[in-house]
Amino acid sequence: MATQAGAVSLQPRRATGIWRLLSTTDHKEIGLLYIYSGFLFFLLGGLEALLIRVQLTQPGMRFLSPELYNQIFTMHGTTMIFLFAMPILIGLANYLAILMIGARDMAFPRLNAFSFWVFLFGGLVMYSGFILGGAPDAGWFAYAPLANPEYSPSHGMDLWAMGIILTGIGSIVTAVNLIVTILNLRAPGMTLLRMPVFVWMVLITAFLMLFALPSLTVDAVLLFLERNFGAPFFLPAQGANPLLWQHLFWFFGHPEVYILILPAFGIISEIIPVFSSKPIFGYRALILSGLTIGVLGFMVWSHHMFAVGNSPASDASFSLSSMIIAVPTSIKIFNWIATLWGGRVEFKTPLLHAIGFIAMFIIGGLSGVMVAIVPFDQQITQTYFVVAHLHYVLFGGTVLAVFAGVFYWFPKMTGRMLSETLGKWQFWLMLIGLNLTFFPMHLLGMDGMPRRVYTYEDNPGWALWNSLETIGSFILGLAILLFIFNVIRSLRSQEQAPDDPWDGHTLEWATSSPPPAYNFASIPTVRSLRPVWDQKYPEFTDEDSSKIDPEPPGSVTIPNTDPPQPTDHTEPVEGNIHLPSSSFNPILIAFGLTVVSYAAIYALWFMPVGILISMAGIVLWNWETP
Amino acid sequence: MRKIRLLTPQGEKRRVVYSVPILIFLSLITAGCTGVPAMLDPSSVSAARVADLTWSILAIATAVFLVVEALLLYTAFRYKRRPGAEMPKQITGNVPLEIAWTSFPAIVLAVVFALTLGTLLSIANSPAPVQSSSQPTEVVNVRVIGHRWWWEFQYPDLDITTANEMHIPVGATVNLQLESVDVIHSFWVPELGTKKDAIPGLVNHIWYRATRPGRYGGACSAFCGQQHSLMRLQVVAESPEEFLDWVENQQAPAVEVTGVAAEGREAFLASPCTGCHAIEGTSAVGKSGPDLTHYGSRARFAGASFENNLENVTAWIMDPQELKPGNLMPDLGMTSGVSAKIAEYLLSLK
Repeated sequence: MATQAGAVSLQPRRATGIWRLLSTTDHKEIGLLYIYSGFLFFLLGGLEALLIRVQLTQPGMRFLSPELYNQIFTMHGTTMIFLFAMPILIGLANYLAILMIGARDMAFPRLNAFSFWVFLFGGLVMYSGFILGGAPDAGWFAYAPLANPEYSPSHGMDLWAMGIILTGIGSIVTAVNLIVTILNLRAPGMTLLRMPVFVWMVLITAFLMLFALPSLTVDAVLLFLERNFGAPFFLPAQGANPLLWQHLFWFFGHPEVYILILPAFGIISEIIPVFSSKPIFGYRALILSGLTIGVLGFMVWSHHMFAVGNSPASDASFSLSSMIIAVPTSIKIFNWIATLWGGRVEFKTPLLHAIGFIAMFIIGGLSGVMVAIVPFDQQITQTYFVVAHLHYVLFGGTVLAVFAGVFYWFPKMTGRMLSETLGKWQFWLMLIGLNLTFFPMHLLGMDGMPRRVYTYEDNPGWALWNSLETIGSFILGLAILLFIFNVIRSLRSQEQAPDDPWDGHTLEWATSSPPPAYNFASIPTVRSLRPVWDQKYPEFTDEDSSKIDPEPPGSVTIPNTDPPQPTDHTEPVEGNIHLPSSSFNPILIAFGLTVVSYAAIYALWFMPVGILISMAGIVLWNWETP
Repeated sequence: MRKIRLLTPQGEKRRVVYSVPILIFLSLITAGCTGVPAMLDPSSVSAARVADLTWSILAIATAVFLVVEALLLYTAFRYKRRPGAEMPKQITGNVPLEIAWTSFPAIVLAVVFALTLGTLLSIANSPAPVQSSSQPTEVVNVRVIGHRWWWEFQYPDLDITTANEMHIPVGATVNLQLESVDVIHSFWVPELGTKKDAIPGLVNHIWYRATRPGRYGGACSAFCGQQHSLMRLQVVAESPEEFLDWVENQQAPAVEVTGVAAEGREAFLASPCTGCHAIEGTSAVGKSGPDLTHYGSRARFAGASFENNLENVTAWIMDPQELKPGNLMPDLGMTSGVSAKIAEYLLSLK
């Protein structure tokens, strides 16, 4: 990648090495930064999961102290949601949605860099608790009043609140950036109804982030004020209501589930048609169902609170709205199956993961309907049944989809192919590992095992299931090690991946692997949903050709990837390619905010320093040339 | 393993494909061997309604699971690319099909929601309003108070206070009033059904009517801090006669003791223990820890986590932080001799 962009060097002021990394504004590099950091956090969260599983292998184990155990499961949840799943999906969106709409970069490239850095620093702030005398320990949803200093005295929850605020800023800014970019920077001819399903899902997700995350950010601000300045927002002793926390949290928390699954739906909707040599079945139905899920997702939050003592009428309404979401979700599953139907299905690693995704997501979806059933939920909420359900959705769902996407786009992003054989081994290990780890949890929950316990009753049945789960989790660990080996092996190989290894449909396959800094030498004109396919197979266009503009396919459209001739390394290139210059100001502002966060916790008087650093970044940013 | 091979003579890949449903199936079989999950083995009227609902839902879910998974796997393998396969027809959609697979789940879910609503209302509408009772075998009111990390049970009409072990008569309507003195806890006994949170500053209600005698284990189900795991409880459902005996015993002041137990009594009353624990009829009147008046009558202690025997209780008094790290009972530096005497005393308080 470095050589590619370096040789062309369309950008006037671009640093090299580590400085290049810290100042990049290229959406592909930022996308990769997101993906790599997200993956590192995934390894940390996975390590925490293994520690949890070792502790639970048998009842009465003393592998972790209760104190440390609570920190570890809190950080496992926080990491997997905020520091792995969201960032890695944002990273894929950053890298691919821009290519798929035929743009050269995000609408606000520096803001994009800022989003990344503020997310990364937020994650580091939360993790710094482990070396600063106590990591967050009140669970990833930090219920009041447990998160109050009286019950959680270390600074862990302060760091958690600040980390949530910082990563939240990053996500909100990214949401705005993605919305503006997708709505404004599409290639000529790409109407909204010619956008790939992945781009649509990213767009819907961006709106969800825009509306949902502020609720969490507000919650975290209130928590921080309560903890540090005695402002009573949740403390019953001072006349406040601890349920306020839960309402604000789940008003974010349930849309968050769709923030994590809609992009996964998008990835699957890209992969299945390509490996079936067919167009996606029911394009409009998929988009519409995605929109429906997005809207309904805001109307179901209280189904996390069926045990708090709401009225039966309220519980029944939230139960109904939660069940309705299963309808658009089923529509998606049937459309994917219909896309495979009659196709020419090639079992390459991306498709294997995609089918695994559907197979596992069906289980998570069914148990999701079950937990929406109020009387059933009032038995199993806060038990291992819920842990099983959420892992079928997030591991069987999001994680498998992310791996599907990574196997699919790895050649595009790196110019190298991953090994199919290793990938298939990894897939089967993951499938067996995840079912062995998570399926028995359903039974344990129904048998009375609460979640978030460091030990459990001495009961032979429970000990058996828990031991099997621990074995399953290590099979998952093995699968991930295999993946890491696969990636390293591929990156070190000299074999160049083709530009279009899977016979792709969408615009990212029209440029080189990896793409040049400017993505496309000339911006393509789009005439249909599958521009690259229609160029390759003019005789096999969509059955309904009314959706395709009449011009003969050969005349323009897909540009070649020869770079335009740069005249001079220091001058902007002629031919109207404008690329953002790199900038250190985004990281500077993010750094300033991080200083503010620590100062707010440990030394208020130091806060102005952080503010000044951020202000300096903002001022310098305004002086930058475009 | 041999079974899996017999089913799939075609080779390696196939075997793994089939292994997943078989794995799930085997887990269900093994589950059968380890017994029906507690919530499906109900011992109260409301839990039985929830269990009935759950069986119906499980049947529907299993049917949907089998149909959709079979459709998915059939499609994927049926249309697997064969050598020389022609380019498939480029179909983009089909409106009648879309309508069909929108209606199908909608109808199934309508049925599920109707079942849900029926059960929800039947539980919510049944007996309920807390009424003072002179007939303890018909209506029993209990204040359930969550503490970090143990349960306090007060019977206001019967003037009983106890901890971690709640007694109820079979057939009576038991009204529970859930409260908390610190963080959010959640009261749950799977065999009796309907979990509800105990939230500081708020009061929640649930009701049970036990249908058969037994000792049922429960647990705090909302993460409540360091010892959430060891905040368990037991509910003893017994015949009305046994319950009345229990009530009579609990209403009496602490029994008089002799011998080693009497020495333990002296040590206890001279120690800081009395600051947190009450024993009726003595100078111990502390309220922040469990009431010990009839401590020896309870089967387990410390959040119903350990068996109530001399060895365990002695170890607990010597160093409570060893058995249950982080619990609110401080290490008072008791010697093993004194601890054993106090344990002897407490266990004699039947």
